Amino acid sequence: MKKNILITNCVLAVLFLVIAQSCSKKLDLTPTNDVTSEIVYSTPAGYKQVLGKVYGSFALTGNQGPAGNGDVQGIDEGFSDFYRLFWKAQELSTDEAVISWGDVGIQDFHNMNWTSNNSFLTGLYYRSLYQITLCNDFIRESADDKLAARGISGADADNIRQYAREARFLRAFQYWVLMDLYGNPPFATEATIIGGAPPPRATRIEIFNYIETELKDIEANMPAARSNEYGRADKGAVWALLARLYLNAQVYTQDPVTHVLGAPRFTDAITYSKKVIDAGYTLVNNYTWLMRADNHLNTSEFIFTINYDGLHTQGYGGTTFLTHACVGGSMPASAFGVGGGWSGTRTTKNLPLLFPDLTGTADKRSQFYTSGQNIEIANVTSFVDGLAVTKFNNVKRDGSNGQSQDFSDVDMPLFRLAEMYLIYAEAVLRGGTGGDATTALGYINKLRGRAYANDPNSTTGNINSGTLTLDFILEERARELYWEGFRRTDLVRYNKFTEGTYLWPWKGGVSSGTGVSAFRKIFPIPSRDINSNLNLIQNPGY
Amino acid sequence: MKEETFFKNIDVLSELKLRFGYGETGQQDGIGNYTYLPVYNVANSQAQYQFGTTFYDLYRPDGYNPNLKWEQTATTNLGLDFGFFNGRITGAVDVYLKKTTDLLSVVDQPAGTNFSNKILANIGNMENRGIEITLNTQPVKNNDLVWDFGINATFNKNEITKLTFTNDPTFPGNLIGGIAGGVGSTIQIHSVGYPKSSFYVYKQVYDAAGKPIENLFEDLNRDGLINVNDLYRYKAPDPDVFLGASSSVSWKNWSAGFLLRANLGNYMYNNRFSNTGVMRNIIDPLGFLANGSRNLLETNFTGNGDKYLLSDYYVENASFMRMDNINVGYNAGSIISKNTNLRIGFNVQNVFTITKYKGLDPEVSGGIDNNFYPRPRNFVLNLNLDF
Repeated sequence: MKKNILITNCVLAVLFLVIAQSCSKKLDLTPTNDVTSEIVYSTPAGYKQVLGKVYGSFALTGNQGPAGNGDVQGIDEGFSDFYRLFWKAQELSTDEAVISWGDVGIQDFHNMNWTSNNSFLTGLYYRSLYQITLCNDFIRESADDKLAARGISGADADNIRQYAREARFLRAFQYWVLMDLYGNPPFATEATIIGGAPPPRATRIEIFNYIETELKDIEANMPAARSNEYGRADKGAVWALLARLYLNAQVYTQDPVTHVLGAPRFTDAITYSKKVIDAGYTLVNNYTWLMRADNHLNTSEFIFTINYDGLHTQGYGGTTFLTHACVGGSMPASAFGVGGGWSGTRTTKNLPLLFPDLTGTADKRSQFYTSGQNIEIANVTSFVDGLAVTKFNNVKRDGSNGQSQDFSDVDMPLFRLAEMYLIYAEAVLRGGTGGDATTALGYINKLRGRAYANDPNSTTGNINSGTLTLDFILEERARELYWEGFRRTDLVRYNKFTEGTYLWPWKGGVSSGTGVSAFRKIFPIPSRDINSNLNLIQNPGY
Repeated sequence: MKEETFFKNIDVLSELKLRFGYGETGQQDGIGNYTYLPVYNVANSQAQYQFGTTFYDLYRPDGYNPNLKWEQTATTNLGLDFGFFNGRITGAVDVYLKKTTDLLSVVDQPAGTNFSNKILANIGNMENRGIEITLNTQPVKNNDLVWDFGINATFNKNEITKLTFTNDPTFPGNLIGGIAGGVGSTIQIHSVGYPKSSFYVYKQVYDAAGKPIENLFEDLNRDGLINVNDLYRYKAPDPDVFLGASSSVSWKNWSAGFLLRANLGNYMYNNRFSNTGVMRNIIDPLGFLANGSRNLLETNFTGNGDKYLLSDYYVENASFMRMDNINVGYNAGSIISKNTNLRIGFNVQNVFTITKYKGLDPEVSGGIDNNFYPRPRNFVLNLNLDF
């Protein structure tokens, strides 16, 4: 018995020892397995890996490809992808696209009856502000005093300052998205404290001025156009965003009460589109090579891209969505470089009828799949109603497939030269100075020459100056830029988005199309953030 | 107190005690490691990003809350224990007040202020007030027959008293309670002056026959629009009253007993009905059929739009009475040899539930019924042989 007590005591003593040793002297513990900001930012390589996330937030939905550890909570991860959501908001709400799916709220885009609870609008809003938050953090951590404290100097410090300027560009781009779609978003900068007070609301005009100031501030020190690594922004991207901003300036600076348009900035639009055009970009000869699996080869035309990769950058958004959702009906999936179609997206007849034929015989931009598809849409939710669009394929120029059948290799150009030509021409027609009609016509005919003869310098398909009108520009933008996320912005600028003067099948939820209230030119601020940030005010009408 | 002079002569009173208690407890459920400081995670190799021709491993900052602390509850209670007839009737009455400060809840963050749009935070204060009554009796006790019978009742009132996010009286509250269907939709709210997790819903309009009209709601603020300003707080998932009764009887070698329980005033959001009881779910536009809820036959909802999910039609009274257990036993004694003992018992668990709730089970914690795994009804026959 005595022996037993001894053993018990020994066991107790050992236990106590173990317990005593497992306690740490420190009260504030730091992680042993995870990485804190001090470790991440201790080396220039660490900075670049964070920069990777700042950019990668465009292409990825989380830290685990293709899904499983999302960045944005409370929303299906596949629904939280930037380009997928941006595309839905910009295209499904217009004549260029319909979708057959039944997810709650997805048909609201084409029916034009979205509300402040819409999951997709909520997801895009949080995604854009998430990327802005990442940019803000990166800019904060790249301040001179932080670099000095971490012993980073010389060329390394210069590189990091350049990364920070690119983060400011990405932030300006996302504020452009928020301004264009939501009007009056919350305004967070590097001064906004993590876990701190809610950011103030900024009006559309204030955001416009902020984007302009930021871009002009970083412009001089950005790398020359076409000189940065593929996938990173340079002067060309800054100019291209300024050109797009100025083209739409009257809308963005419109008086919110009287609806009187703001001051025209078409001269600035000419200036900045011209800067891009003169920087040495050229059109890729074959239009059908633009949205293919090896379109990273199109660096002569692409100004700034979101980079996707079937093996390394996987997700259910971006071009994976674009290349899969458009395949259905009798379309052989393998011919489009995917394992199986998602039977979702098609177009209304308005888009194909802008082309001389549906097969791309004359204008090679006319990329539609017609077999078994009806050009008329009896039922929006039936894939065979409406022509399928074959512009986006996970297939290379030589006809071979991308690396993966499930995730796309196609990169998405956020800016490409063709848009700059169109901005230049439209700004000239709208009365901007510093450009001329002959040059404008020449630019448009480069697009036409490529479209008709795979040669920008060909005269085939060319138009004459009498044909070059504002309405022609809108149609040409559709022919050149369809499904690239421009249409809603273009229709708003042309007063054709909500008005009853321009209709398309099922506009406003009516088979023949109908106008809707003008307040729908901007989307509502998601109710979830209105509820969390009392500085925000819901847009009128919602 | 029984020994006090003024009670000493009351013979029926066998026990009387007055209790007063005060205690503070903390709880940290849900607080992960290091959620108070910025931590970075490396993405996996399918979530890299390409610059030039190189794919980079990415560092992502996790959301964090530098101000996170334990939730604290201070409980004050005043109780009276009593016994009559030599302990044949005993019981207690307790009045309590629980004040919770720094209530923990996962809530939306204002966009732009964190690396995660939902964060566990100390959102405010809450009070629980109530009375607990317990009564245990032994109506019969003799050599052959012993009958124990007990009942208990708790009346509880729960209320959020403060939200730290803002003092603005126009602030509706913190939205919680994610539901299936509308991706990212929430159905509950923590609001000052209301029970926690109150349902935050649109007021459904019904036709003359009493059928809900899809996407037609009352414009509560009369501004001509149906939007989030027309949401109202309707009921809450926590019961107002808990009742319980238990009984056990033993007679000679026989024994029997049951356990009965009831919750009153608890409501449930029937997410099965709202998510699967619409046409869109059953006939999927992609052309395949899915299983749906029979609730469709009552509503005929198509499932278009995103407001019908937030209808108060789906918030149902989930008060219930449930027989948790009923049992019968017989002690057969030594039937084989002198040192053995055989006991036979039969008991049923989850015997029956009486409720008006139309879903599978009225008792789902949190008040959102979505894919609840059904409780089994167990029939157990025991044969115990001791030797």
